[in-house]
Amino acid sequence: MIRQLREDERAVSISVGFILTLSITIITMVVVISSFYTMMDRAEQTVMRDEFEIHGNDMALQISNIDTAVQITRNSGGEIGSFYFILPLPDEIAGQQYSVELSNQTNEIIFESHGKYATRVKVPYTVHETEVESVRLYSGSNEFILHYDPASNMIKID
Amino acid sequence: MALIIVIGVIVFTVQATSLTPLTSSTANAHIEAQLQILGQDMLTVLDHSKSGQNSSLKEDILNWDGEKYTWNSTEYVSQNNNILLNSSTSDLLKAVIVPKGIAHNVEFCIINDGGTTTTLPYIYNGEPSDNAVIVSRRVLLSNSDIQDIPLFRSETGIYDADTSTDFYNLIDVKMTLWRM
Amino acid sequence: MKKMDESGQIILIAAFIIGIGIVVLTVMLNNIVYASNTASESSIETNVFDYSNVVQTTTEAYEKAYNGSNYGNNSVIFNAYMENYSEKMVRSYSLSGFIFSLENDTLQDAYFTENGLADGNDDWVVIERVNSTDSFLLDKLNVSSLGNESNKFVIEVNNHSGSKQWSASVYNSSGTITISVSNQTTSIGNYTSASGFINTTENQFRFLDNTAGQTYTIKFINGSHSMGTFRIAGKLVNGNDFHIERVHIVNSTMKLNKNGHLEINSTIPITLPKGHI
Repeated sequence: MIRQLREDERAVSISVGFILTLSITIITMVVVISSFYTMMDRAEQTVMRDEFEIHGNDMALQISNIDTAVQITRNSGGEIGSFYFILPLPDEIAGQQYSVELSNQTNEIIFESHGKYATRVKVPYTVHETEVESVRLYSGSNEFILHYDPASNMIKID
Repeated sequence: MALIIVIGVIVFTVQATSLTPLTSSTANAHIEAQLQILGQDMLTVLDHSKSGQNSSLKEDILNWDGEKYTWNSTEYVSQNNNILLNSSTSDLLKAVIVPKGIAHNVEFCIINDGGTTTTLPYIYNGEPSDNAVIVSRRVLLSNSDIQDIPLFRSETGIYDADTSTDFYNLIDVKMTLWRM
Repeated sequence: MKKMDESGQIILIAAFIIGIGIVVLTVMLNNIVYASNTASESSIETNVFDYSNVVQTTTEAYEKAYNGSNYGNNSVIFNAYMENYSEKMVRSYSLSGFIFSLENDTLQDAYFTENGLADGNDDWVVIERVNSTDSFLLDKLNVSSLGNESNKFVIEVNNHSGSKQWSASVYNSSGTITISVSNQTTSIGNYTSASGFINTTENQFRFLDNTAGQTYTIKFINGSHSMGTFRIAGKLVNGNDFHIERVHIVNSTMKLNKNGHLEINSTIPITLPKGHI
């Protein structure tokens, strides 16, 4: 019986076999490659979040540096004329534009890439003697300058 | 044939994996940042002047006898076998840095009239490695701070930059820290 | 043989897919690790430490320069010291990558505010935790710069629980400098000063009687209503001596600029001969 089945070559067509093999191969490749794209996108988001966190921490450090310098000057009875710091933020992170937002209410720096909520990173900062102006900026051709405005006792970024 | 290609692909991917940067370079950046903050904090504490008197760092410079001290696992000893006593810098280093196994140098730098620098070692423990961190603090010396000016000049080598005023010199205290 | 060849094609394709997949994954991993590396090597900022160092040494330089110049009268010596200091600082900081510059105004007369300027803090604590005062002098009081009785400049001495031990109000009463002294219960008396000089530890003011054996705090109130100089010296509770003296103030402007991407610019009025404790 089994021998008969093994040597039974009725309804065997090479083209059908070939088409089946080809379609299975194509379907497998499409599934595998599309899963790779999803994985790449997620990895890209992880990279973006990491970089945002690093840049955010750098910015928070600069903000508290400005705050400390204002406090030192006030303790000596003086006044700061100007304090500005050019932030080395890149134009694009992971190949896409992003936005930086300083929030006065929640004391956070918020980074977001292209409106994608999944890449949103919030880094908290603290200031004691000064205040920070809430603003939202987009990366691009301008440099980000973090500066202190003595008239309004605010740290601004533009 | 297929086996050869499969093996070839596997060899290629294994070789590609070793192209990633080694994680030790990440560790270096963090360690350098830590050492920098540690050094800055130490110098800030040493240079704090209380009640308007000279800070501990300035007193150490004024009391320096010009010799180069090296750590010999119990004391700071110079080549003439003098032990560094009465120095807040050495006390602080002994208490904080030596237990952590961080190697350190403390040098005083002065700028000559021609613009070149003279580096005078205070504590010297060898050439620093590649990942060393230097923190610096400027200290001002005036003629009125120094009790015996010719003695100070001959012992330490720090000279009076302007003999017509009370200004003696500006010293840049450089502390180099590195992990062995 | 044909079957074996066809089976071999699938193994081939699968091998290629696995190979490409692993390479792609490896490259992505590479990017992640590399990106974390480069971003975390962002600069370690020491500019606040440098700034506080500059403020501290510049204040000390002004004080030393002033001490050698006969209370500011010998401006040649004062300026010579500051020139030397400024030049050495510029050179020293240029080796660290900073551009440093220092400018100052002329020496000015001071108000009794916290920083000596007319718009400074009116009410401030001059010195606290005082055990004993050896000298407390006020000088160069001027009728034209003193307020009248409703705008008087007050020196108040409180003990450690905050209750007033002694106070003196200095004001312009129709052209004369009047000092009205009182302790916590009664008024001690009204005195005048023709020369603009007041030695607070004199017997008539009863300063030492009312503050003996206590730990006290000296406060200035309404400091902007009077110009003048003062000197207070004595011992603190912890045994250290203290000495605050203000004869002139100088507005000093310091600038630190690093690589063009950081600039700090501030103006500090420095009390001379000795301001801070």
